[in-house]
Amino acid sequence: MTRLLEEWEWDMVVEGDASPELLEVAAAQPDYQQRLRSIQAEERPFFHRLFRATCPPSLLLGEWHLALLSPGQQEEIRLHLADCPHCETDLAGLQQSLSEPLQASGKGGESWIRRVILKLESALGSAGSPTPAVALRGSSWSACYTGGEFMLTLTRESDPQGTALLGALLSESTTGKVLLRQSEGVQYQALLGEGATFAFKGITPGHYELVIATPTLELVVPDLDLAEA
Amino acid sequence: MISLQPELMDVDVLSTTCQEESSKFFRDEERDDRFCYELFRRALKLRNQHAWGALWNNYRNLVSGWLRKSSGFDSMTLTMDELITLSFERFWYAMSDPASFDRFASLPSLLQYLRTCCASTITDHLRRHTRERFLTDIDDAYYLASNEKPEHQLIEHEEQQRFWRKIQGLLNDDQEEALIQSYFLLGLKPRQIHKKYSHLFPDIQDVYRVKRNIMNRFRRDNDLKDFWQT
Repeated sequence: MTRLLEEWEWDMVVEGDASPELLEVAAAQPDYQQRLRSIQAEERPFFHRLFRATCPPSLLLGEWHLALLSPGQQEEIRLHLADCPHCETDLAGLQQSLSEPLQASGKGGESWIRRVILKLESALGSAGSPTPAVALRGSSWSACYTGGEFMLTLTRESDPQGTALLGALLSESTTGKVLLRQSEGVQYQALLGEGATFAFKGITPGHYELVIATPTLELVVPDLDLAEA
Repeated sequence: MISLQPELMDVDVLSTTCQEESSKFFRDEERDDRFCYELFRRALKLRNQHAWGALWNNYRNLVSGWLRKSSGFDSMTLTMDELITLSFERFWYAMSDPASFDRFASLPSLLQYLRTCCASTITDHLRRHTRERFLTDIDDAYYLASNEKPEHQLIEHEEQQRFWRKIQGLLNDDQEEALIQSYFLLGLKPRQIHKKYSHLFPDIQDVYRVKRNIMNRFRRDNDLKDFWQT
């Protein structure tokens, strides 16, 4: 007769710490899959609420680095850092960011990032109509956006996983990243490759903001309609 | 006639003079920090909105440069505009208590703090991504509906801490606290906990036995009943 596993032994199976013998016994249990699922589900809400719950906000780590805190707070954070690998990594990043002379970033009149809003100039729809339109319709189209001295062509195509979007920026050779964002944040990210082109595949239909970000420039298409055709 | 005493200057004049002195700062020339310091004081200590707007305009380029040079900037999924706004908001929010400003006796110390706000904005954004990745690993259905605004982050942090205090109240001794803290708060695996606290858990099975006891105790707790169902 197969012996029944203790609950903590099931936990070992889930974490991958079970011996081969224990795994064999677990696999023979009729409710094997169900037990694994229920143990995983049991812990999730705790991770959601507790993961890094006692880590100081990173600004506090910065204040600790600048010795701006009271002696008691300094000591409290020192103790936390000794125990928390995540905060140790955060602090290393902060210290690196703060290590240069203050004015290093402002020297030479370093320009700040220019932001240009691109507007729809013309579009060709999927019906094959050669007539330019002022709105995008259908599951495949090509469109031209302009703003300032910039011109961007976008092509929407059907994709087995959703929608594909191809883009080409008429510009001097530049590199950067391209983001497709919705109100809750960035959904997709692609690289602006050589020739200033980019491609997204498997996009979930919807409305997006498209941002092309280079070291000196942000080009934005504020309302890109990639909704279901 | 324009007074050369910063405390008596109109904000617009103060702002222009601050800009002039700042360009000397970037050329490593001798400069007078009193004008910029006064602009910061009016904006942050006196909460003067006009001065705050001038400060934003004067230092926006510098903030943008700091952000770009911050560790982790290349992994950002926010636009530069958003990062600048979040950094300034963080700076404003951190100085909401007038006494906070008194910690900074010089312009360089204020600028260093503003740069710390930039770096920590990026660090917090990376933190959220790490957290998302960690939670997605353990839960396919995980979705983080979070907000980057400093005040929301504070509320989220306080809620987490309140919950942690509740959990601490259910733990019996140092062994249990070390285990739950390492497992849920730091995300360590039982094997790592056994290694780190071999004096408390001589065998890896001890980690599992103690954890199971605690989880069963949590299950019996009336206050946590709702929590299990959410």
